[in-house]
Amino acid sequence: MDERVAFGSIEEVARLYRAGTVSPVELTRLLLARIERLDPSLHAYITVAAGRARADAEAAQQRLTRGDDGPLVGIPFAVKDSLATQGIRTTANSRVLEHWIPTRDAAAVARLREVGAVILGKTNLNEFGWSLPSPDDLCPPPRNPWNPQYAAIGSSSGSGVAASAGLAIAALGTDGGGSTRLPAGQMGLVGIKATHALLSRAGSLHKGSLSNVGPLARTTRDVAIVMNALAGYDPQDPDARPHDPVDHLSGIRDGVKGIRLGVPWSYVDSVPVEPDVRAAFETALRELQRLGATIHAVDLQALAHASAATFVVLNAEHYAAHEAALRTHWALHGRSARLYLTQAAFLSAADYLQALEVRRLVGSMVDTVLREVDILVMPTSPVVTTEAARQPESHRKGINASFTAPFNLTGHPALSVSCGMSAVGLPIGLQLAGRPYDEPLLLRAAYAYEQATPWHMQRPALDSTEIQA
Amino acid sequence: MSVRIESFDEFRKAISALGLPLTDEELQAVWPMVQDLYERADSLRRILEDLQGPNALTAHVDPPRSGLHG
Repeated sequence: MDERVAFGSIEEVARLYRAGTVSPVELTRLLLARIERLDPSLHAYITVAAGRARADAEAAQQRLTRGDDGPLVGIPFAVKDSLATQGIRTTANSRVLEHWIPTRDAAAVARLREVGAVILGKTNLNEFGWSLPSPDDLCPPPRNPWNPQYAAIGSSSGSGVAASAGLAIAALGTDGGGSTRLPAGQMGLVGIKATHALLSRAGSLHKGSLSNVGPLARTTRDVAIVMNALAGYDPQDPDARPHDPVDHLSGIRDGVKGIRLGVPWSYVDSVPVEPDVRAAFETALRELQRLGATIHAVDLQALAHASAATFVVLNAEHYAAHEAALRTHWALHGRSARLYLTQAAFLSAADYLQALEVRRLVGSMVDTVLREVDILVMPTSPVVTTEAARQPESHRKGINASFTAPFNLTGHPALSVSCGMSAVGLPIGLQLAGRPYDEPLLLRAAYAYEQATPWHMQRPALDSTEIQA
Repeated sequence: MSVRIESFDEFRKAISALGLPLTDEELQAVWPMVQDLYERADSLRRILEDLQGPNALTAHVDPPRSGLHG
């Protein structure tokens, strides 16, 4: 089988299945072989569930033989290791959970299984998604397949690596401040953080009010397909709100003519955006304008206030969620997780409630602007490399999440689509954010942009001999 | 205004009272993080004044421009 199938989109693979050119069993075998060959250096996976994946693939083959035309039947997925998987250990890359084998799937994983997807394994993250990655972690940090000299950004770093390196066709991540959109942007993928709790978070180890489950895939249409499978009201998720089902593929080809794009220039200019990112962003705006969108400057300096509120909410919720385990399993936490999880021990209830009030006010201001424009546009990340994002001063201020975290705070949907290539050979992302439950419009704009540009067709030049971990 | 832990010694005692066995090196590393978080939490009060006060920030949209930069 042609190994390039490993880089196929969900739609391309589904077509090959229906044509009988490739079977789920063959593709799963190919991907497992690639994981065995490449992942010792890339570290995308914490656990590879080879036997389970082969069984999933056999079952999918039978569904196809019976004429099941579901778009995800037999599609191999990687799943972030902070989403529970029945029968497959789920560690969140922590020694605290090193041997935990859940008895139930997270809701999103259960849904993937229902529609016939193949689960290849569990992907890497920084410990509990709230620490600085370290070589001493249960599983060492992933490398970026586009240039393995650089670390992959997270926290859904392993999911991003798996999908971009041809170690899965698509992946599930979670996003509490940008953790699906940032790896998508840095690894040439499309990643979405949907409207808060549109995708059920039941069974996610990230219990906070900012975190969401989200797909990472190679094309906008692939993300829409996964959204169709996963979006829906789930009473198991306490934050979920009933809403009418939406077809995320409907209208995706309608283009951007007449769509009003808002750019919060004063906020963008207040963030230290690297030159490569700035150039790619401005080129992307010109392309969207050429495609018929109108560009409007919007005043949303309130986004700057989101940072402090996000830090307080994230820290307070992480401490609350981990307080008991810190007491009982202190020695099993990595050094960085100990520090990150402990820092909020002395925040007050007033601090947290004031952060929630800022959240409400900033959300209201974003709503106001989104009555005048249809979509907000900005870079996904101001920096290209993970190493730049983790410079102590930059990391302390949360610079890397300057554009993504505000929409975790407000709950608005936002996606990242690839918009350029940096001088060091790492992709650059463009973020589109919109009104609650207006994911179809974001996907429509992203698709129009994607089809007019070459970025989604590029693949990392990857071979085991090139990777020096 | 919340009461804050003001000194490293106070912080060390408070951590001990919580029952978390941080080493000296870990205490030294996390103390600046706690102070930074305090700064952010304190800034929320100023932000709320900005957002709610008489000169509250408002959101607005400029008309379409031919150029890209506002």
